Amino acid sequence: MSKAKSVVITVLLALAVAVAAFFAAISFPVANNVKRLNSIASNIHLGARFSGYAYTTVYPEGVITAEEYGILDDENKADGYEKVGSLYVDKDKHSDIEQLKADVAADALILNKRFGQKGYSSYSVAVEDGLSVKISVPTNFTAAAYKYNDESSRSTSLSAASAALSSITAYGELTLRTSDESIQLNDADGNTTTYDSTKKGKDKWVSKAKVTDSSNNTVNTYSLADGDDVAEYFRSVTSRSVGKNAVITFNFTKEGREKFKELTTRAVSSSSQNIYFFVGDRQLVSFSCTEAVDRSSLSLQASDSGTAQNAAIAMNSAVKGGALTLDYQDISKVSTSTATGGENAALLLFIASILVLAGLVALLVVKYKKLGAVVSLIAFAFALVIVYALCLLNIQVTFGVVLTSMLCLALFVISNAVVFAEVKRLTEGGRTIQASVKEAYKNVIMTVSDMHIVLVIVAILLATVAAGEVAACGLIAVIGVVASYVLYWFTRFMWYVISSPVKDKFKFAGLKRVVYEDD
Amino acid sequence: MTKFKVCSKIHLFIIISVLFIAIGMAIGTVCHFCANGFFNYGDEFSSYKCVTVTYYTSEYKDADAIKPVCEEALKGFNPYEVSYYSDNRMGGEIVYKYSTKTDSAKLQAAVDSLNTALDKNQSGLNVASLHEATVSEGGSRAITYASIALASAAAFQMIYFVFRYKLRAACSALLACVHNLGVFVALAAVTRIPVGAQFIAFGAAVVFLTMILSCVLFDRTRKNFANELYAKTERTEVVDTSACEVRMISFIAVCALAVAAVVFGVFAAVSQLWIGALAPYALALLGLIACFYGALFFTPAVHGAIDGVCEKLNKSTKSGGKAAKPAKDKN
Repeated sequence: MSKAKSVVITVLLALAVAVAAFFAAISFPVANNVKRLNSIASNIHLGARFSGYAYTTVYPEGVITAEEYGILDDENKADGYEKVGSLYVDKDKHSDIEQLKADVAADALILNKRFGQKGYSSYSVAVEDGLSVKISVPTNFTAAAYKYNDESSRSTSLSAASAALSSITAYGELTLRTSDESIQLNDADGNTTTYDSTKKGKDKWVSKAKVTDSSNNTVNTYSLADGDDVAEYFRSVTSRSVGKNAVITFNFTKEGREKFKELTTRAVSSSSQNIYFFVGDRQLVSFSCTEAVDRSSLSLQASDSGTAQNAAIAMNSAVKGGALTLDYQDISKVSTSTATGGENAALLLFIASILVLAGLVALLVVKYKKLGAVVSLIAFAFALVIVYALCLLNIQVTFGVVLTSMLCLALFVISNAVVFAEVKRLTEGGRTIQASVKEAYKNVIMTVSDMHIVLVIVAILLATVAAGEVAACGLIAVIGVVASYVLYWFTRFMWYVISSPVKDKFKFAGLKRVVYEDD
Repeated sequence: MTKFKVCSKIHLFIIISVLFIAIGMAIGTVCHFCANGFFNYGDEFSSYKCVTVTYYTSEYKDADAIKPVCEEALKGFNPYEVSYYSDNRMGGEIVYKYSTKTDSAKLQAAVDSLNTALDKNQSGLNVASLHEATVSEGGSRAITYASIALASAAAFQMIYFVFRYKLRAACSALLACVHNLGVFVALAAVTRIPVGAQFIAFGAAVVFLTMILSCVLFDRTRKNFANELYAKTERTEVVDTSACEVRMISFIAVCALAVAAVVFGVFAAVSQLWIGALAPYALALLGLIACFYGALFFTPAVHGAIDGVCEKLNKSTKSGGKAAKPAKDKN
């Protein structure tokens, strides 16, 4: 390769990296300051340490805050509220405070299990003053959203967190409901019977579990299951999502399958033809039923993976005896806290990452001279691949993810260090640089390949089997290991590009052939 | 450092590791029953006391306006986390979190005086309240799945190494993973550094780094075994030589990662202006210490020992076989 070609390729590579780095790091206003083009880095979703928690506090019915107590009139105050911590308990509703505290503690444990299934990088369920439950989940904001530079992303993240908090905290048992007060059923002999929904079992949810009918009116719903405990119909409720398709799957017990067939036959004859799946007063799924269902499982399409997962978690918990003991007040607000790592934690993390990268560049240049500079450039490209992947795959950045990315970068550098050491050994053995490089890459191919094969499969295992932060680490490790291997071979190409025009075949990039006396 | 032979000191390393892991487990177990758990659970795992200040913009423009009043009243108590919520219109909330050891009576007195200061206009709008929060133990599902993933990862690594490097290297690699993870857990239990949800991710990182460094060592050993130069050298010595050859790479890699963790830690502490912010980075350093000790001393020593034992067994089997030959030969 001629010197000109070598220079052109190197310059083109440097330019490509510079352009990618510009869009990765710099946000700027466009269209006369009307819009803002946020950088790739600022569009990466962040963990609670860097973007804070979305939190809410749920209070049992009959428990009010000091603020709410303050606005009560004197008559109501005198009517019997007991102060517990900073909360007030209506003694008519809860005569035994200790029992109430025990029930709240038990419900907090159930909620903890439910939120544990959500796969958050971090979350907490805390019982405050023994009587209320405070739930905190990561906001999942991007840096731009956190700083109010991307309102749309902020609102999407907040909606997702609010929906999770609302659905997963659903209290009460699982019920299958209809908006029809009565349903006319025709049997095989042509006889007509009437299913009176309003008289089926003791259903306390009638006035609470409401739906909007086709005329946009809010109407009551009634049990469609003949007053049965429908939790016994199901073995489990799971959710699955592939790409943008999300489904909720109900797995029936043997008896449940029969009962559900009966129930769907009833629903087909109803005027709305809908079965509403409620946990307590919260409608989680609706099923438009046009024919009787006689299958071992039922899969229903959900609008998105978050909705499917939230509904499945709440319903599965109710199915498995995890219905909350107490009735709770509706969630009035979901607040967001500042980043637990400090207001500018994300910015400082970014600066620290740049510093670490700069340190690596310095180390490589000092150790491998000209070649070190080239490897540094490729290491920089590696970092950009990670940044773009984090953004495109919506991977939430936590310190664990940053550490994993650093490990992948270390893998890339170690792979190159192994081959450089081999080149050095061969050069000192008397070969030309070109021959040493060729031989060295051949010698270490299995070392490097073994390392990457083991790690990519380990990373896939972590990404698929683990949950939460570890799964995120696994996913970024898959990308990091693949990128490391591809860029390792790109470094080989760059060896060729920069060493080809060199005239002295025995001296290059700090390496020098050792000439023995008998040469 | 690169000339230091480790294989002959296998007994020493085993004693150190076993002792260390045993001490860690013992301290963790004692703390599990007598203190706040096997680890010192922090972050989202720790119970806390908090003072919540609710304010309205009609009296206080924003959080910055009310902050000095709060800080004056709560002077003398050190919150480990302060978070702000504001809807940018009506008002907001400031939450000061304190450790459970904070004296409730004194804090309540401070909150009462804060309420007096906040209610200067007697509107009753701005209120501070003290809460005691007990965090439910969580993360069990994440821990279970992560453990399954790590166990399957280690099992897969062993199977792969059986094919690529022989069973003895595979056993050494598995031991290296278990050892490094054990040392990491022991270090976390002994040092009582607050452990958060990221601890599991750090465990995965320890396994990941152990695998990288094991690959480098085993590959060098395999090459040296195949090298004619070492044909007549004791296998344990070959492992020692290989360990010396790759030691610098392992050393630099672990040190570079440690420097990175320190840099991140310093920036985190600056961001939060709180020494406690260093906890996750200190945990990461503990993981790196475990990998450092494992990669430089324990793994090569164990690999040398296992290889030596297997070789001796091989030889004795072979020599046993030769001795048995005449007996088989009935002619």
